[in-house]
Amino acid sequence: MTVAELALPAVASDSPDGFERAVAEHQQMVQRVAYRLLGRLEDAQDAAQEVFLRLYRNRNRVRPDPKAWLYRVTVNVCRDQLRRRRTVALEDRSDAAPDPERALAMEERKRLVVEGLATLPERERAAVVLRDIEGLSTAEVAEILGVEEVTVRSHVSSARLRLAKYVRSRL
Amino acid sequence: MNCEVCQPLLGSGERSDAVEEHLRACPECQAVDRDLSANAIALETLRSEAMPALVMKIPRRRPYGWVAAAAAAGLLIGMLAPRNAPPVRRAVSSHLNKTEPLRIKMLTPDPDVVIYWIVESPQGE
Amino acid sequence: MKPIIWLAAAAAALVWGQEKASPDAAIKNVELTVYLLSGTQAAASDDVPQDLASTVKQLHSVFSYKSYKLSDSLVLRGRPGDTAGTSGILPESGLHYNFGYRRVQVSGGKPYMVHIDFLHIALSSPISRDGKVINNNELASITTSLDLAEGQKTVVGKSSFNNAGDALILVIVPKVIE
Repeated sequence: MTVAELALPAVASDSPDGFERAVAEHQQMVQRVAYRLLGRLEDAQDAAQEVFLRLYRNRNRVRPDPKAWLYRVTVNVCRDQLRRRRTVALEDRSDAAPDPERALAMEERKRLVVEGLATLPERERAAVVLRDIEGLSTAEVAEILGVEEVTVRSHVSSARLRLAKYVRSRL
Repeated sequence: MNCEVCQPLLGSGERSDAVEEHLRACPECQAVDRDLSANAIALETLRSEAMPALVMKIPRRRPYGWVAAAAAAGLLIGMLAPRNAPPVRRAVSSHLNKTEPLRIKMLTPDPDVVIYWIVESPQGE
Repeated sequence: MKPIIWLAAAAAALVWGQEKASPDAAIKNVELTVYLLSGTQAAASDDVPQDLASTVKQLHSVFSYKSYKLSDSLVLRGRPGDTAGTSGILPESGLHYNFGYRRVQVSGGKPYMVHIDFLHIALSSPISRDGKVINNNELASITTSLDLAEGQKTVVGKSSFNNAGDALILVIVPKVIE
């Protein structure tokens, strides 16, 4: 049974209602940010669903390039989820037990950094995810989080130091 | 400058002459600096991690059923990607037979190409 | 004589009417050229024949797979109303496939519409013991009915057919042989 027939916009279309295109372009980013903020894939997918539903409802009000809007809504949706849940969960990584015999390779560091993200205060986690994983500028992060740039710098610095301490203590 | 002043500056990425001078003389801050650099690389590599496919659920009791179906189908199209996660646990549509696969037809700008994408409904949902 | 002429005319009219109602009668075969592709997240260049370049371009614009690769191609010919099928082994992966349909019909005029009931493809991995294949473990399958326009390239696919999350994709090009 065919659910729907869709006429896809041309690749170079400037259609203001390029909703499907926006979803195709940004779904990885939204899920990735949500995953790093919430710590669990299932929760990240729930959050991403909510984000795109909001995009659909607001598709005529959102600019043709909705990236900044999507970042902001993703952070807000995740924040709401965290408030309901109170803790950041971590996926079961029992297949990636640390190997203290081995030198700290990048994969091991990545694993510890991801673990450390879950221990950060929510505002610091959001700032460092947007700044250091997503690569946004301080000004962009400030706009998304609705705070001053100096606040972003402070949160990012604090988050980075906490992560450094977390990883170092597990060497 | 002492460590309490230097380390927050390192965290912010500031490398003034005073910071560099303190670093030269302080093994502890050198270690922190190394960890910050390595962690920065680790965080950046997380950007390229592929996320699994996302399947949208059509909200129940929408007033314009065909709009919801088209929207969900459109979202599904946009979200289809290879996945390395456990099987999808959410049905795409709540108003279709849950055991019947969904088929989305896409008319592309190329009149010679038509796409049908099959979405299997998860078992037991 | 009159009754004979009338009967002859009636018989001719009957034959003519049957041919008009059933265009299949004039059509000998329906030939499907089928390309089996995989869509993958591996960052590589596409590995498909030039014929499929425009099709793969559309796939890139819709899906986020990084590259597409041709696994195999086949040609299946059958008569309208009949069942047809074929099977084979994909050269690189060694996976077995079964491809076929329950029935094919043709309608309209050139270019014809081709209606396929229960088109089916299944990929399986053979289970061997002592060098003999004793069973097949089905990895993925697609079953669907389709209406295709002659000469058009119809893509049928589904995501995540293997552990790597690759997409299983068929590109079907029908041709009506008169």
